[in-house]
Amino acid sequence: MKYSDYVWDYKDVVQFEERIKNGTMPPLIISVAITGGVIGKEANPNLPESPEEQADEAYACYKAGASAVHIHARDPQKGFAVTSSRTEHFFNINRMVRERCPDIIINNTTGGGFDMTREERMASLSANPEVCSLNCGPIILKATLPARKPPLSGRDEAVALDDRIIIVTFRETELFSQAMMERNIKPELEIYNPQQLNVVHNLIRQKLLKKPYWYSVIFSTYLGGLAVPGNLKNYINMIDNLPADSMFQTIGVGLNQVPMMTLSILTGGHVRVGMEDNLFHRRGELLKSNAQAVEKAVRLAGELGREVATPEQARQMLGISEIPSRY
Amino acid sequence: MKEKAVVTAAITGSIHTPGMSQYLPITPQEIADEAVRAHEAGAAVCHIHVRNPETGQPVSDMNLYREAVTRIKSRCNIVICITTGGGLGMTAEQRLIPVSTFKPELGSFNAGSINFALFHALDRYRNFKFDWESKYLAMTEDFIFPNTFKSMKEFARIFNENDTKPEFEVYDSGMINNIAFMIEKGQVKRPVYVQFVMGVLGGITPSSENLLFLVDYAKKLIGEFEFSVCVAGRAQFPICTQSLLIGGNVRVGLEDNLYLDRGTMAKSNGEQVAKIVRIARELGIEPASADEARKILGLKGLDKVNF
Repeated sequence: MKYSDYVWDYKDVVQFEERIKNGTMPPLIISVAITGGVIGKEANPNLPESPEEQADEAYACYKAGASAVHIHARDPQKGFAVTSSRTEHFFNINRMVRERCPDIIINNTTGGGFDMTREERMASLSANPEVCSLNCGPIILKATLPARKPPLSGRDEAVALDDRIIIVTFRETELFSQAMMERNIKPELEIYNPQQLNVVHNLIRQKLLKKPYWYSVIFSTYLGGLAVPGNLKNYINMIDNLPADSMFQTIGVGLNQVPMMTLSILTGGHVRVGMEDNLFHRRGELLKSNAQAVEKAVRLAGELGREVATPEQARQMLGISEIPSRY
Repeated sequence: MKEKAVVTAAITGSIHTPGMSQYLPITPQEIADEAVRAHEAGAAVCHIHVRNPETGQPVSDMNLYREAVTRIKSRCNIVICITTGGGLGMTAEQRLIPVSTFKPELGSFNAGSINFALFHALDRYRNFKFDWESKYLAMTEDFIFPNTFKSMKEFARIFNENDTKPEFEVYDSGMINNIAFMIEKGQVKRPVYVQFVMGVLGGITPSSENLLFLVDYAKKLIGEFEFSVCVAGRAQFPICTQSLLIGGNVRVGLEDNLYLDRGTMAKSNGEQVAKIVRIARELGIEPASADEARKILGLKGLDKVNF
């Protein structure tokens, strides 16, 4: 694949038509966010929390067609209820995933949780991930985490998040980006609204990012989320605003997951699915596994004429070493 | 998104010619078989043109229409939408004969004039079965599909008289304004049903932006309305899928696109219907039954047609 096969100007409607006609959309990178740092088994008992569960889920997703896995290690001292702030927890899961999936792209969060310091959120950077999320703005949520009843533990009472914030400053994004560059980690720029692209422009000016710039473009609901609401108009606006040399995957939160990933498949983007973003298979029916969400993405890609990327192809497109990380 | 979407199958049309696909239905029997297949796969509406049974040339012959629609009606309750596109050089009155003769529940109503161009297909297709095919395609380089305000007024009158719901074929944004004008003059009643036709050379090109623009613009001009999207060529499934995502209905079928996937020809309308139904279900949308489509579109019912 040449660079221009998978990176182009998404505003170019003529190229869009040509790519559809000639079937030259790039292979679809399917990432799966198997766990997340907010919701857990209290909301879907099938969500993997322990390292063993996470590694097994990652493997099932890999078999189903995922070329990348996004991991939040959970803290065993806190009943796996929240994201861990210790490098060894991430390293342990990364190692177990690599044992099962020889070439899947391993992606660790730096989003952490609402109770973590900046240093704690950076713990994952030393666990040898290949990609790390990089939030491009502060995070606020209108949500309440339900209590975790036995046998679950880690949160005896419900916790309201509506007066909490994960602070992300311009300086922090520079620090994170710098740290990733030093460790040869590909930043995955988390973009919740067009304004956050200013942060990206700053990183580009500071020469802290390598091409192609890789994004998660996030869409949520009118109520609760910080991200721009998921609809076709907002989708086009977000994609049109991406700087040159960009590649993106779409994250649709909750009910937005399927419509937004469909748009991404249609327009040449990539997709992230999984229980971090959406607990449901369809309305009223919880996901049985993360692989079930990956299988859906694979089916949609097939119907809409996108080949599914192998980890090898995904590595090439994202500019990640073809030699998988070792642990 | 909505929970039910109307899937229309445009069975054979008048754009493609027999040399382009061996699967294009030609005879009334073949057209009826294809409509039934489409219905079995989930289509609630079929859009009907007829062709000369020997040569496959598009014609407007009432006996052929009658044979096709009665065969379909005897086998399933799919909504039958008859074209009023007619043929080159026909008057508005002639093009309206299918409506006054069969009083169908739904009929196509072209909402303005366009350069309806097919001649560029000659760049891709060389081997035809019949002499008329290449001439027919070549002729469109100098062809305007005429739908003047005077003729549209006549169309509106005949549709109203026969209680046939117009399916407004909109090939470009100006045609939305034509519909708004007819509503304002009392020729056309709300709520209207619009079929956005994208990708015909002479009309608007298929893209996400253009689809969004058409729908937004129509909402501003004519308020709430029901719409469907069809696309000539290979952007059919991508853009139809986006119609589903923004609350619209969809039309597929061999009139619009001869392929199922890249490099794979559709062997029947049913295959294309089955595919869009699979996509819809992945999105949590069920195909409307024919009777549900009658409610959604506000149709008079199969007992009130004249065939």
